[in-house]
Amino acid sequence: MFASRFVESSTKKIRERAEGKRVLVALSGGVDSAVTATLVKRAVGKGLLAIFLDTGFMRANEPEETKGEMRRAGVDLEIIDAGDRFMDALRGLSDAEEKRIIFRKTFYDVFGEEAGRRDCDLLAQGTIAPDWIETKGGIKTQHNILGQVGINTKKRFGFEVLEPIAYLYKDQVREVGRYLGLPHSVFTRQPFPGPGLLVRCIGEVKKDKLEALKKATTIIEKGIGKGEAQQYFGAVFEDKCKKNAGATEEARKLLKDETVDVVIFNSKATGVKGDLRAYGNIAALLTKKRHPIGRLAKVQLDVINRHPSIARVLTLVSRRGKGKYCVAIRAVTTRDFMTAKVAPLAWKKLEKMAAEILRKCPSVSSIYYDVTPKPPATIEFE
Amino acid sequence: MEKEEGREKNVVSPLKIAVVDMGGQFNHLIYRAIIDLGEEAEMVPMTITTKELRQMAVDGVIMGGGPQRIGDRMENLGNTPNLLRELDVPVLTMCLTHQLLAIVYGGKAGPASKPEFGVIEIEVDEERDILKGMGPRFRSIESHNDEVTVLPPVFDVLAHSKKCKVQVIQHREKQLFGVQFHPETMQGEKDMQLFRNFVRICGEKKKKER
Repeated sequence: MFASRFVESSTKKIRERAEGKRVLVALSGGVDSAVTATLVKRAVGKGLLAIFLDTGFMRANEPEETKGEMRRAGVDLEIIDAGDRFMDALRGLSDAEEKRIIFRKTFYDVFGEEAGRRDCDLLAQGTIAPDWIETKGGIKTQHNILGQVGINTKKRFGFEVLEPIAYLYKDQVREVGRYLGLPHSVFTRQPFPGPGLLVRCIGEVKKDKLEALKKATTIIEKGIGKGEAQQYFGAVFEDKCKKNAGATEEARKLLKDETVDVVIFNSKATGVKGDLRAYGNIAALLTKKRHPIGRLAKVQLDVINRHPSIARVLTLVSRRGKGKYCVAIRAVTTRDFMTAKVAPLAWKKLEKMAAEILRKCPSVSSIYYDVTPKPPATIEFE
Repeated sequence: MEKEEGREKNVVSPLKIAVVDMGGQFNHLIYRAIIDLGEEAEMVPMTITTKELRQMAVDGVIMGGGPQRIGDRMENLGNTPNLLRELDVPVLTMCLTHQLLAIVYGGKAGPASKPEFGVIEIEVDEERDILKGMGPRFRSIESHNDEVTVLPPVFDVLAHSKKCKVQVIQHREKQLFGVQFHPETMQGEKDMQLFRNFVRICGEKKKKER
């Protein structure tokens, strides 16, 4: 009912906007851009060009797999490899917002050039409600928000933007995708951020760090099922931390466990507290006992409420002597991605994934599980 | 399902509900909740006047939260203090505007002694009107640094939590309601019930006036 009504009104609106124009679609293969491409194709028919921009922050084999999957969904796409250009632009940056803003600029510089080359004056993209809400609210700069924050795309990049699903949430987009007849694997696909692994490579991007993250991502995506969480992934950051006496004392009291320690990392993560952006340190609970995840999530709340400089709380799964990076596993359940709960994964499952990551990634010293809901965290780390 | 229920109860459906955009993260989810109930919703800016809302013929108004802090210096609240005084349709306020509602009617709000973030359990003290069907307790998302510290004289408290005494307030005569939590996030199993209650209250008033 909702989907058919939406498709009907949206097709009409797209036709009005795109009449006589050549449309370029920014296609990542995710459900948002796949639905957008399908809607635009329905509305304007033949004049559709789709580009998959390989930023270098894609998962293993993602460009080729996406191309095949989109072909099955009826959209032919062209892959543009801009990996080196993104890496050059982002070198040396470690602040989460700076990284996002430079990513946005590079992304649309490339799209501007490609649109110009193909004589396209309209760029269609799969922006959805949380993107503009979080960007306008100052929580984080989602790379696809331009006009809503006063950027004149025509002047700066040479194209106008078409965002047919900008008022929908993820679950509604999936409903529309199902109605449009997209393959099951497409309309149920878990979200992947526009800046990709960049926002999961916490702090400065380095080649070996990104490589470890790619391997960990494959293991985590295979280890967790769609039935357990709506989004699940890994993040990587430097293993540099200090014990915090105050937080340790509180956590010991709350967990009635004298063996608990709380450490605070130098690395920072993004959060949202009372409608405001939070950007603070990552903390971790080091426990010898396997406390229930739900209980640790409660301790997390206390740590974050008492220590405004902390924006994220993890709990240790496995550790070995050497290695310079940590990997955090994140898995959340949510309807619309504006709020999210920590998925209560079994310790056995976490331990199994941790063992495999440690085996395959020699640069990784320890594996953690993120026990922070949204709010006060965001789903992604940066 | 929810849609049919809503329509059955309200012979005056669809109702038209204005959602005032205060800049909060969840404001647009309020709009979605009303649409999901099968009623009409429209997002309006916080500078909108009572006259404009009357011209739109709205049957109810909901004001969400926002990043603004409340207290001595109140800025960037648009025309909402006046709306809270002047509107004669049912008004539901949340978080920031719930605190503002208390201030406008002579109460006080300011920094919470214990800010709440995350899913919190809320105890229902009086299960009526906006809280019908929500007792004896329910869970919902909280995300606030400020809270109502002094209750305005003409208001009742309908619910509280362990760390925050004033979770739900209601004017004794006017149909003005305030909740500190965020039912629009739909993380609690009774969250939608609160919107059903508000829609029912708006429908009953509209029916009476016909």
